[in-house]
Amino acid sequence: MFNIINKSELIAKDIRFQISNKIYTHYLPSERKLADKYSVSRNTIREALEILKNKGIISLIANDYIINQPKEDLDWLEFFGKKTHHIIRNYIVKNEVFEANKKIAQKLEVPLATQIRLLVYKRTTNEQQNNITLSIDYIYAPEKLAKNLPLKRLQECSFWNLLAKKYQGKKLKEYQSLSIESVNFEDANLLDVPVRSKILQRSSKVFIDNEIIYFVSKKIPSNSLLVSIDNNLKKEKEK
Amino acid sequence: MNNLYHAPLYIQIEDLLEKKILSKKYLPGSKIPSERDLARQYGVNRMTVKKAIDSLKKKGLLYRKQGSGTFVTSVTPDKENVYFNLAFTDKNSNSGISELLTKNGIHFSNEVVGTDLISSNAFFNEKLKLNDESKVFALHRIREIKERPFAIEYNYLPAKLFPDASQVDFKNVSLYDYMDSKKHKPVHFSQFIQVIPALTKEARLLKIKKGDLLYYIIYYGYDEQGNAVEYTESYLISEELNLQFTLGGILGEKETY
Repeated sequence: MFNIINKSELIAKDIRFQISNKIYTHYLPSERKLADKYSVSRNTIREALEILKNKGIISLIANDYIINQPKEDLDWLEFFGKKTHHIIRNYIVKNEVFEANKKIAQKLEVPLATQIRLLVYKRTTNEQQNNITLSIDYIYAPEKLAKNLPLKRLQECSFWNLLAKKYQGKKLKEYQSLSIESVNFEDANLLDVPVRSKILQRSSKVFIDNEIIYFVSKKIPSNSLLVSIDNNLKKEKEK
Repeated sequence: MNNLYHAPLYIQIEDLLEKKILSKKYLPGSKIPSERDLARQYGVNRMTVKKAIDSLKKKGLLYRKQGSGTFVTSVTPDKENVYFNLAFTDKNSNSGISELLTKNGIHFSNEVVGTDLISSNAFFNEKLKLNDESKVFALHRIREIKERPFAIEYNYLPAKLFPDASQVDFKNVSLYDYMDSKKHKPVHFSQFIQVIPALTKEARLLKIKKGDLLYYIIYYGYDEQGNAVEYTESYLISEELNLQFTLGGILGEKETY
């Protein structure tokens, strides 16, 4: 039986372990030191580091391997009122009320001409002193839900932050679909990526009690992570 | 377990239809009862039924044929998107990829790349909550639909719970069926999904181009007793693949029903 895991893969996993256990913080040791430590060639180490780079765990900046902050599922954190270690800024592109047309009325399951709040904002954060774009989010919410929210604070708080604060304790259910799409001209401009490059699209119908919010988040794949935890497990842990 | 009593009626209708489709009460390719009949059967408005059916249509489980009714999709992956329901909501059965695909009427095959017994590896031991001297059974497979690879799966199981795993023919035996036979089938999961470009190895195994985007999914599986029984990393092609899941909880508080 041959060994099915490459050396470089095993080393990548071990480095990942060292990172998650805070044995390495901020920076990784140099390629040479790592090669000595694992008694392998520089090439093997480079392969291992490539695997970690590809998953966004580290970045190579001017010959230094820098450990990135772990990615987070912001939407998830915000739904459930949890803290993020990222500092997020939202740049508001649209904040308007319109009368539901057929398409939106069907999505939100409301009569035609219902007042709908449309929010579009671009989400960014800072990493290694660089401003990085996370996503552009489209939120279609019934105005009767949205009108009670302090939307002036959208720059630092997402719609979900505000909603979770105002309607805390209400039941939430989300039906989510993920796909990889080619970005259109308008969104490409907002996201600062080439037209037709690939984005990760999360389309959700979010039920807050019986109100429906339609949520589309177009995410830069390399800056995104999505989490899902089995609900029954949680329940048992809490017992 | 999923109490839908308070959910809108159309969600309930959608849920019961989805269950019938997934459990093959409605077979792939077959016609389901008319909206009128369903409405009468459950004592709801026809529009409610229509809404449920529309939503399942969007999910790709049903399709309408002009003038002849509504049918259960039998997916041909060359033509249509494949939908993965990652919710693991169907608690009555195993819900590995194989199960999901079989239920959706997709025929697929497994190629076992290799198996191995890994000793004293800190990374895997941490993931599976094992102590230092533990052994981990590794199973690497390629999943194919019509001889076209769509996923690489790296499964890692605690060897002490699955001592004879290396003797099992995983080309033909489903991993979850085997785990079930040992009474350690994972029933609770946490999963993390990321999208990453394929590196050389994944590109070679999946027969795609280096740099093509992949879904990279990490699962932690726990059995009924809460033992960590599975740590899996899987790479799925993103072309033609939609992932779906549901999330529930209390707004601003916690992710639970």
